[in-house]
Amino acid sequence: MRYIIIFILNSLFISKSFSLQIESTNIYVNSNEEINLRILSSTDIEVFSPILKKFSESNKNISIEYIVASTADIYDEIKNNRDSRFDLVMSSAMDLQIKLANDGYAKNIDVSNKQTMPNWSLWQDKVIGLSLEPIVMVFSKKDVKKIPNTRSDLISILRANSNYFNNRIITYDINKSGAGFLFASQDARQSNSFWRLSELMGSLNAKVVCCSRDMLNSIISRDKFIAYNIIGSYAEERAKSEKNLLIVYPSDYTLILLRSALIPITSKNDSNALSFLNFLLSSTGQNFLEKKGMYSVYNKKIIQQGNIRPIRLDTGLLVFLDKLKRKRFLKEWNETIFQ
Amino acid sequence: MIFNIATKISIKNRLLIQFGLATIVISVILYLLIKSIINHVIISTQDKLLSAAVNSISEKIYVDKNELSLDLPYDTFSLIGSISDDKIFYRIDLNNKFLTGYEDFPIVSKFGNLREPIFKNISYNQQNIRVASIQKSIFFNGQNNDVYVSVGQTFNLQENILFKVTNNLYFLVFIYLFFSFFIALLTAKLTLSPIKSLANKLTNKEPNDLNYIKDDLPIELTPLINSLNGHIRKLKIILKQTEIFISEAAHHIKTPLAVVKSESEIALIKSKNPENRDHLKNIISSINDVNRSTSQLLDHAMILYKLERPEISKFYLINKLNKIIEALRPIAEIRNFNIKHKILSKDKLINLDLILYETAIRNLIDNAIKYAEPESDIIIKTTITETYCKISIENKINKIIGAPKKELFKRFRRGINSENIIGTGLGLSIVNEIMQGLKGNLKIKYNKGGIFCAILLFSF
Repeated sequence: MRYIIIFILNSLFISKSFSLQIESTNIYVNSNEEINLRILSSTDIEVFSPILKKFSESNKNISIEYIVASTADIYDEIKNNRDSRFDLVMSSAMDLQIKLANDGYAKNIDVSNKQTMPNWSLWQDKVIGLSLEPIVMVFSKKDVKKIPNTRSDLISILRANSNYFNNRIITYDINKSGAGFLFASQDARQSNSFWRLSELMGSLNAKVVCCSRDMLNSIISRDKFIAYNIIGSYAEERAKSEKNLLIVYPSDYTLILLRSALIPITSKNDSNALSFLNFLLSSTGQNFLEKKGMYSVYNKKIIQQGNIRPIRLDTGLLVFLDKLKRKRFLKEWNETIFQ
Repeated sequence: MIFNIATKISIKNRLLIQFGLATIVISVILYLLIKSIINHVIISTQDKLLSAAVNSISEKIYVDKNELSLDLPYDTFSLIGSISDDKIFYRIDLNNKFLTGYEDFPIVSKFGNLREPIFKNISYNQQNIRVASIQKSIFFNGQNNDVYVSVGQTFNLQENILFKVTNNLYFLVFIYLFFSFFIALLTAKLTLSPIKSLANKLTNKEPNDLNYIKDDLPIELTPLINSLNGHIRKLKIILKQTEIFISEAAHHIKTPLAVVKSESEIALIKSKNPENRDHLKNIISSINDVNRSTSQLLDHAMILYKLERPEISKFYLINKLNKIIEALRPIAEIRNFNIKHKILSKDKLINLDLILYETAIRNLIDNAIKYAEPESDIIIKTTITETYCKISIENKINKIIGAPKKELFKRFRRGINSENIIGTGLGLSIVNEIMQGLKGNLKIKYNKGGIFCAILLFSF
């Protein structure tokens, strides 16, 4: 008989084993009461809960523990904790995932439908893309009358209405958020307008937060009017119930994040992790993800759109993790945001 | 006749083994050579990529407010990593102190310069890494500072290409071996076909066929052919000498015998004493026997010679047969035999050795006259078709022959019924040899009513 126990820890919790700050833990217990698939993920449980339930139903010998943590903490846990108990890591921080794999912290993954997967969604058979997620701008419909479609338009609107938008912008704190740092570094590669926009947001006392959830809550509560660089799937999911949210996929360029997974070298149940990955990459799993506002890795239409800039899953991502480069980038960003 | 000869490995198998071994050796050499060339090309390519990467990184090292800074080139890392999903490691040191990158990455002992980086294979994190290292000087803080840059890459590219190439090479080598085997088989077959054809020809050669071998054969077989022809020539000489010896011996015997016979006949005429006359009659009878035997021996020697060198001429078969019958009719009539010739077809002009033909017919009619029941008929039937001729000679016999049919064809073999009949036992043997020489056939049949039937069947 299958039953599910769910713990939701709203407050931050510090793991006993290491300095892993757990945001929430969910357990799906099956006939086998001993947990034999531990997933460490940066994705909110709301997104993955239906998939985990479905997988649990069809795999009665697998009991799952799903732990949510920040991308930076996930990286630290896998890199520094030699006794890490996790069997699967899913993260939106592609750069940190590549870094873990490059530095030898990931096992080989041999998914069953590898042949049908696009080449760009795999790196060295160690990091595997799960879904495509556009990085979007979110506006409060009621508070922003003229919605910009490009970053240049946004800059123009902010400059023209600096008093109105003062203290009304929110974005990632890239000092704390791995995903935020990734989006910012990729923005900097794509266009010079990023630094102009950052400087402008800094002058307008933009608020920086750790996560997409906080950004969306601020827009929903109308405390903030503009959220910049937010993961599209979260926004789309919330927009279903919150009519005030207006999502814009910038037409100058829209970054596409590849949410990725790896099996840590310390995993003791890698076959269960592989089963779950196979399920996620099956049409059933991908359908579940698409229902949550993500795009399937098999979706060719989105990749072929002109304004789409997928972040490539390759060793180029290591560059912004370099101590000196990161330091310089954060210094410049902090100088522009915190004026 | 098959002789049991001790055989070693056949020429075919020897050729196959030699060909196979040569192919395997060539395949292994080719495999190693191609692999080595590809390996060299891949390492050169990887070295060029690493050289570009290490130079690109070193160009992005700059001084900012008296502090060394680095703008690691994104595209360079993306490019060298994405070619084969290779792992990348780097380390930058300033004045022998770690600055950035992978702190545990081994420091190489030698550094090149911007133009010529030093390449080395090292082991890092249980992986084989190809490293390019350079050293450059940067002036800041009032002095020259040494910056050491090392960029390492795993061998995925090399291993992947080698894996693919090796797989293709295995396939190519397999195909090469497969076709080589068939080519070897074909070559062996083609090489040995002249020998096989020669062997077949020699096997099918008639015992009397002493013609030289004149086929178009490979030059390598010339010594063998020359040797065989040499043997044939020796056989011919021996045969010729034997024929000459027999014919000369026969003549040497016949001439004195003729003298003895004529003298004995004169003595018989002159002699009045009955006892002496009986002796003389016996002597004359014996001389006749010896004379007949000598003639048949001469015939035999001549037949052997003629079979070796037949003289083909054109003649009408029945017409010639009639002439032979007419020549023998007086002898038959003396013995009260009637020779009847039943012609069942129209006469035909044929190409044949006349002497051989006449000898065969004469011997058979002679035999019939000798062994036929007194006052019976000797019946000759002749049938000619487009391609062959059948002549049967039948006579009634009053005694059982008492020997198997084939035994009668042997030289000097005679039946029980030949007692008190002058003869040598060469007649049927001569006819049989003529028929073999003409690719024809001699058959003996015993028909109802004590009829002995000899049938000649030959083509022309």
